[in-house]
Amino acid sequence: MSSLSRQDWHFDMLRYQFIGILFWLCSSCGQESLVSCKENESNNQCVEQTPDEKAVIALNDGDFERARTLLEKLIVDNPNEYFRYPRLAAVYAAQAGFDLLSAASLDSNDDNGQSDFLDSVGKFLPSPLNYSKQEYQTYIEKMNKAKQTLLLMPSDHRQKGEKFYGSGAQFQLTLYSSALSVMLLNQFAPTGDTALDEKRLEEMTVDDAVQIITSLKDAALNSAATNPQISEKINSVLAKVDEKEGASDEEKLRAYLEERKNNG
Amino acid sequence: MIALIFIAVFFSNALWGRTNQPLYEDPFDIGAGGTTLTRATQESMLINNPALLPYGGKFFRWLGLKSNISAAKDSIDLVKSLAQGDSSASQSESNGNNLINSLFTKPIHFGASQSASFITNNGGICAFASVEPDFRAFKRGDPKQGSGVPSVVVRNEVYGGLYASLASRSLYDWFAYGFSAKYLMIGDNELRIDLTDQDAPKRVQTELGDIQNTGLNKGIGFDFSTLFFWQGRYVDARLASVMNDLGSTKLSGQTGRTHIPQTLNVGLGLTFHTSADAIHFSADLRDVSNAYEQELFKRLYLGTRILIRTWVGIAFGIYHGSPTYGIELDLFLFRASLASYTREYGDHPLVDQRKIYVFSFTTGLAF
Repeated sequence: MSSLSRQDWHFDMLRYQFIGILFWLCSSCGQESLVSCKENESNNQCVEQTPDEKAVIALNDGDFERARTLLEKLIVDNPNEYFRYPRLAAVYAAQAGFDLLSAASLDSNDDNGQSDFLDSVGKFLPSPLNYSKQEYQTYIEKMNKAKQTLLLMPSDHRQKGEKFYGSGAQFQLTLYSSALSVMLLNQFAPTGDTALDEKRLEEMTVDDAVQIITSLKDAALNSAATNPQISEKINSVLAKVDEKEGASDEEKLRAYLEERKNNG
Repeated sequence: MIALIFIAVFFSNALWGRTNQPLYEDPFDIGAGGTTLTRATQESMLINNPALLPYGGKFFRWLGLKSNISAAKDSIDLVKSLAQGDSSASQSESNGNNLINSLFTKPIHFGASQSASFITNNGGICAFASVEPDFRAFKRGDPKQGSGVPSVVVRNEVYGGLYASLASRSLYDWFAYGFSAKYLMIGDNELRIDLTDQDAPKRVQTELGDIQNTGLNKGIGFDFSTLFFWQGRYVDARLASVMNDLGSTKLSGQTGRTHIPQTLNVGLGLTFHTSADAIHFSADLRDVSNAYEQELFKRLYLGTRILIRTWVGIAFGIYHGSPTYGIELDLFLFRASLASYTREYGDHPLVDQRKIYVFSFTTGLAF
């Protein structure tokens, strides 16, 4: 091989080695974003998501605690930006064990209108039979927080219309009001439970009964405009309770629950 | 295929679109990080920087057709999992639940485009059409307008255009300028549907009706570009500037995109080459004045092309802050290329990304 062709050969080899190294360097970049900020890494060059984006992403990923922390702070800092309230309500409801995705398909005309409203809603709620009293009480508090968060919004922000979040807020208030009332009832007569636990029922106090009935009335009121069929079903339950004999709401409610289980 | 692409718009939901990116991108250029100002592939020169034309060698450069198809990685995975699902009755409910769960975690995204072009050293014409539908469901609302309830965001980008370009070197070999006149057809809006909204079906029907009545928004626009090209024995340097949509391109139509703002794009390129091979590094900054108000990571494109013996090309780059890869096989009568890239629909990284694979087949005559 002449010195010139040997030189060309060396040049070719160097060139292809350079291409190979370049190929290896670039392919080791992987496929992930190179500009996103990683948690627990401080990097001034990264592009950070906004707190709202982080909150919604956490909410969709099921990281409810992170979403809650972000949204609570955002709401404290900007209390008049009401689009965050339904998001926070969804966080609390998820932490209460409520499956919103399944409940969104809840149709008040299930089974040709024959289904028991309490059982229908109860399907999407955690059962107190699977949790201690304290744990279930925590879930009830979360669901109540979900409802109260939505009630903090002005009523015109909780309606279908110009606000992109109005429809979602309205729907969630209907759902969480109903869910809360069922959860309160579930403490003493779990829905879906075929055998009524008398001991559990005896734990219900007068205050508990008043709370349950007030919650049912709230749920009927909150759903009247948006979902009259659900409102009608709740009113039907209230009417049946009221029909029962008893000197107090607690006695009437107890009688209703006993009859419901006997007939179920 | 172009006709089929345009028919698709009449059955599409409302649409949403590209900003500083070109309306039509060649897959190999996408593989090189979407950089197209200092080096571009065939008809991309007319669309991105016609001042590249005079530095091509022979007078008649290209006559041909190109077809591209694309799909998101998640969509391909979803189709594969559905195809492999157990079809027995006992598994059907499980498969149904898996499908619903998959739809809420994996977006559905496909695309198709086609172009036809004739290119010379001093000008060219090209026509292109593309459609790119996208469907994404969110369990608790999308990052932009979610309200905590399940929702769906449907987008469909439909673009078509006709470019006619002229270019010339100046008195100096190292400076060229180019000019493009273009007729564009654009349809890109997006539709957000809360699954809890009982009026959603009516609203979708109304919006579909509006879109079918109005069709695509159309307009005529102009681009002007320059290229400084210093050519050495083994090293070349390029500096490009392109003013797109001079004076803003006005589009017909009352809904959707009604104008395209004027934008300035600048690019830098460095090439190491022999008589047969070349390695081209490029950096493009699109929309220098930030008319679209976007973060820098969506406006900065970086890329490398390695061209071996004119038959094989390998490309890498960074597009929307994520790595891209591409490969092409360039034979006499046909050319095939494959690329992967990540497109960010959100305003920040990892908000609403799609990892997309693009395949292209080109047939024609390279002179």
